[in-house]
Amino acid sequence: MTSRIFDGFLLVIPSIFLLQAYRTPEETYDVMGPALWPGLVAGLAIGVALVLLLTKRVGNSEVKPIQPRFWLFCAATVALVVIQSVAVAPFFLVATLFCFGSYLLIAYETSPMRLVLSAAGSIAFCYAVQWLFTTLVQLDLTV
Amino acid sequence: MLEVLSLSTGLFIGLGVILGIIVGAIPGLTATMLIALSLPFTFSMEPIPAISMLIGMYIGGVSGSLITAIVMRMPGTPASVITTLDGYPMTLRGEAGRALALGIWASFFGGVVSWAFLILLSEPLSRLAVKFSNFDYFALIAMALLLIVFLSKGNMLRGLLAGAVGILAAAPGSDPISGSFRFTFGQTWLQDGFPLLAVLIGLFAGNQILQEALDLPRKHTDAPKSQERVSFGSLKLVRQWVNILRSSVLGTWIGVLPGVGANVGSAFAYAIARSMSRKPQDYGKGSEEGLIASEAANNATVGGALVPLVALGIPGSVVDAILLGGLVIHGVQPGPFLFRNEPDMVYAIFNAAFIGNLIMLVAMLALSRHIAKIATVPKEYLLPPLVVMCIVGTFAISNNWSTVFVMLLFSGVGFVFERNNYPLAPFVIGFILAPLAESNLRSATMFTDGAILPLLATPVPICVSVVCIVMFILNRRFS
Repeated sequence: MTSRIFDGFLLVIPSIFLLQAYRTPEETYDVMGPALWPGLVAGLAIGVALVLLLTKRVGNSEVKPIQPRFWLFCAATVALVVIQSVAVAPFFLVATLFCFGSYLLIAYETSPMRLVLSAAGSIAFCYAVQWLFTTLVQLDLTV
Repeated sequence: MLEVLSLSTGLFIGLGVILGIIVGAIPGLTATMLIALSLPFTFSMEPIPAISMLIGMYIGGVSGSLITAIVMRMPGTPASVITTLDGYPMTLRGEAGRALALGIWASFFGGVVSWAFLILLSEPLSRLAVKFSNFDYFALIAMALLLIVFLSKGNMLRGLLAGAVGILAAAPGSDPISGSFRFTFGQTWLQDGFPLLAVLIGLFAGNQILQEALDLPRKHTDAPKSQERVSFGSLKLVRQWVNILRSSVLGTWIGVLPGVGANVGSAFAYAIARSMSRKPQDYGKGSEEGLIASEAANNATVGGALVPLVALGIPGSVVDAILLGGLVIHGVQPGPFLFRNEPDMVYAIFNAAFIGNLIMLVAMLALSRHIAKIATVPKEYLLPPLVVMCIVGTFAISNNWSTVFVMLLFSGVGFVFERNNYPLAPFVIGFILAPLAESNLRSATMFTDGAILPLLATPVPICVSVVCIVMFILNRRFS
């Protein structure tokens, strides 16, 4: 079912491009113009998507369900980027919290020693990355 | 020319090979991911050491996967899936050291044979390609895309749709002929299109991280308890010279075909070796012939895949597509004029392909026992730092966080595609080659006042059509 929904979604994307191709003005000096090639490809994609949607599926493989922790991991990743893009906290601090927090999310670890090692490793790694990129590559990662 | 042969370039090749071996040995991490993630770090480097290092990573990544394939029955990359069939049974017999040595030497010879073909074929092919018309070029690019679709895993229609969506993803931005904006949907951030590097890092590094995170936590694999030293005495490789040479040549020619990767090369050579063996019943039970055939072929695909990249500017594999992106980022225009315009870069590629194989041989013989232990590091320790590297590396492209959001978007795109059994290779090749295909087609139709028939009437498109039909039939027959 998920697969058919995705096939349907992939029908929408080329349809949007085809519509946009229709609306793109032509160029007088260029035989094909800026929209013909993407329009042709979009048309082909629509045809293929329709065939996929209408084709009977045989023996669909089961898709493993996604754990909530995985979504939290994705949300943490997006949060890291959003926080850095609005520049409200130092990169080193936010990245360290992300590394340690992600480890907690995906590792299901309870051993205190391993947690301490993970925290220390996160601090060391993120500091090294910040130093490397700000010193060698001259990126502005600090706030 | 001095830079090509300098010590610093050699050191960068060595660094690339060792990183590639380590990453290639860790199941779930691939050379593709390593190269995509390394591209931003090469910005501050000169083009020749940068591309040399990336080729070193390519060679190391394909080679390194044999270590865990043989010792733990866990191929580091798909290139060594076939190697597990005979490598692991040899380990169970207590011959892990011998299996590693055979695999490493076979990889080396495969790499050297394909390097010879790379040197012999590239220049004549590029001289021929200079005479190609725009229609011929368009036909070659279409062949690259179709072959990737035919030979990608899963449903061919899904591959075709993935390729088409990849082509459409390259459409937003400025038109390659007139420079006017198109398909920006009124968004200013789309006026430059989707940045190539952000797309590549998202699809290959970000997506791979998500795929690995999905399966966590998983049972940890213990390090191999005891492992004999890699023995390189009395391997009696000379007796296998026919097998090595045949597998290397097959692997090279498979690698030349766009879209066909090392895993197809090794599987094909393995099947041929078994069919021609005096002891086919031993295959799958620890046959040295099978192991040698697989490893010689998969390393030979590396040099083979570089041939169309160097001669035509068309990538022979997904990794070459990323290398092509690397060349463009460093201001090198790949294509048949590369020999004339950037001869130093061409010789750098040849040099890296050979020196990389030498360094791979020495490094793997010395370090394979230790690298097998590294491969058992739990993924939980690796994934968060990899995410940080992806984010910082992408930010380094343009010093702009919107590029990082594009990387996150394409990480999601790659994840959703693979979860719904859509192959990513056609998407990537479509994305990378679409502008080239379009500019050639439109330039050609400008000369012919819109006539499309010349596309079907010249020798190159006819040959391309024949190759596509043959590969389609072969794929249908053997799938």
